[in-house]
Amino acid sequence: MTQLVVSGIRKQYRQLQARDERFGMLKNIFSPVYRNVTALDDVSFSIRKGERVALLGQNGAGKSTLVKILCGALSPTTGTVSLDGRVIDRHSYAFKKRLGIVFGQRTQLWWELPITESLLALKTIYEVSDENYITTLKLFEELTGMSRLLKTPAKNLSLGQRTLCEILAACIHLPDILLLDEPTIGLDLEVKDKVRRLINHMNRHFGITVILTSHDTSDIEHICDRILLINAGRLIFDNSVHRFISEHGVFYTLKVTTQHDIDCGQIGVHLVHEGIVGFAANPENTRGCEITFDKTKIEPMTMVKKVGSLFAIDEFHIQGASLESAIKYAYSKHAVS
Amino acid sequence: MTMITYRWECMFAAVSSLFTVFFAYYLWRAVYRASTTLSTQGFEVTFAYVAISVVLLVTFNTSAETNISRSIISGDVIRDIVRPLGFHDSQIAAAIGTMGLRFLLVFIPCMTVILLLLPHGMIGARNVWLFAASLSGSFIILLHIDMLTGLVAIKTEAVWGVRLAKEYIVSVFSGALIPLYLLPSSLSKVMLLLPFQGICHTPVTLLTSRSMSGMEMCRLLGMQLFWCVVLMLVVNRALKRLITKIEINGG
Repeated sequence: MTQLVVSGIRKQYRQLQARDERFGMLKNIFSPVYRNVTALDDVSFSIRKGERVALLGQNGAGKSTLVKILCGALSPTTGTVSLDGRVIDRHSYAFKKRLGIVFGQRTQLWWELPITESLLALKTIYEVSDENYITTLKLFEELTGMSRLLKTPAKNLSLGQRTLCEILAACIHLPDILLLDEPTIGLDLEVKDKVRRLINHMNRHFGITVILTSHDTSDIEHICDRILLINAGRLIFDNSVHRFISEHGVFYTLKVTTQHDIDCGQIGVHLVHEGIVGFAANPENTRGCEITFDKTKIEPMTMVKKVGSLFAIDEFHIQGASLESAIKYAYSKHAVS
Repeated sequence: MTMITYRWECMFAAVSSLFTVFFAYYLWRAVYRASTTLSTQGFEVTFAYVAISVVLLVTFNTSAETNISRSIISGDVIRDIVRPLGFHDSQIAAAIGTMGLRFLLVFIPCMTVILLLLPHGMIGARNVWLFAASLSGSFIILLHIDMLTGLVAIKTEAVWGVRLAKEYIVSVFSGALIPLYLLPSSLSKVMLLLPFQGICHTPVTLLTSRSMSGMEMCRLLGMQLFWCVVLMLVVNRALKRLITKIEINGG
């Protein structure tokens, strides 16, 4: 069932410009020079209930602007956002109650208060029933084992502990849509894992739609099933994670082990000389090598034969493209275009 | 609740207010001893006027201007925008919480000391009721002047300087520095038309004046109510415009 529809969103800002001339700053006080910046340009997509969508893009691509428009904090210059078939009224409390929002770099908890006090305030603001409130707290304890933190003021928690509490606070009213803007930024691996478990659980058990922006590919691999790729304000890819990797995952890795010592550097030079884009590195010792190559320029088996013609291969293993390499390729491709 | 975390700040405010009360007592006693023709009002009335004014300013100081300007300049305002709460309402609710604690820790002890220093029977029961009725108006006016200051500070990006200027203007125009009846009559007439008089002059006059007619009391309370409504409407409109501007131009 389609839940959220974004149609033809365009967002333009006016940005003050420095004058490259004598007394430019002074002149700018009386006659400022602005330029129009298009943060989003004709972005359209729809999201079904319960989907887990990743918003990808380089810094400044327009992801955060899109998140702010989706949560009603910014108004688009043109275009509409509809929720369950109705164009949203950004000021409506009913709309705001359907969203849960986590900004990785901005706390939503009251800084000086124990987490429980913030949660109780949110319970009142979002009119959460006692039953739902207790259920969500129990779930938090089951998934993170960190209920003891709830009596500590937010300012005394570590970043990881606070992020978990932020997610709990954003989900306390069991929203329909959970928007997460870089929730795992600066977190260690263990906390990242807890954050992902918590988000996935909320999605599976309560059918909460998840919209996530992150520069950490592991977040996307563990949480999302769909990718929206934004480049310079335009939506340039909208499909499943699997499809994204098959379209943009051109860099494969050939891992070989050999009976004799080899010089990987020489192999790299040879491959580049032959026009095959790739690089080679000894992973652990000199009797093995990892060669990353562009599969659109050379077929994997042809690559194996070529390496085999250079030295005797004992074993080989071809590894498909990772999400990270696919994203890197997508960024570089669109940066060139 | 936030204020409870900073309870020491509240305690210091209470101690410094008590100090100011004693300072006002000795200062104005010395002034009255030096000049017997200062005013038709006696020493006790002037002391009560100044001391209670200072206590009111400290009790109703909620730092709303700092909270608003800081939240908008830092971008934290997005937290308030995305919540199902009006920005103006949430600011008032936060200020009431802050004021509540200051009321307990500053207002009650300081008022007790002031009343002990005043002669017995100076304040009647009717005065106390009128004073209590005017306190909410005093709080609303000061809070909304603070909010307007916060909005100006966002524009100028000089929060500290604008706040200092506001504090000076409020203490002079409200009568907390020098009672309005001691100023030249032409100046005090103008000041009595401005909103600031509703912060200190109105409640303190209602508390200390035993000979005031019912009509005059109604005029004072009516003027205070008028400024409460005007300031609330102005601030509400200004905050809405500001939030819309943030929504259009970005954080």
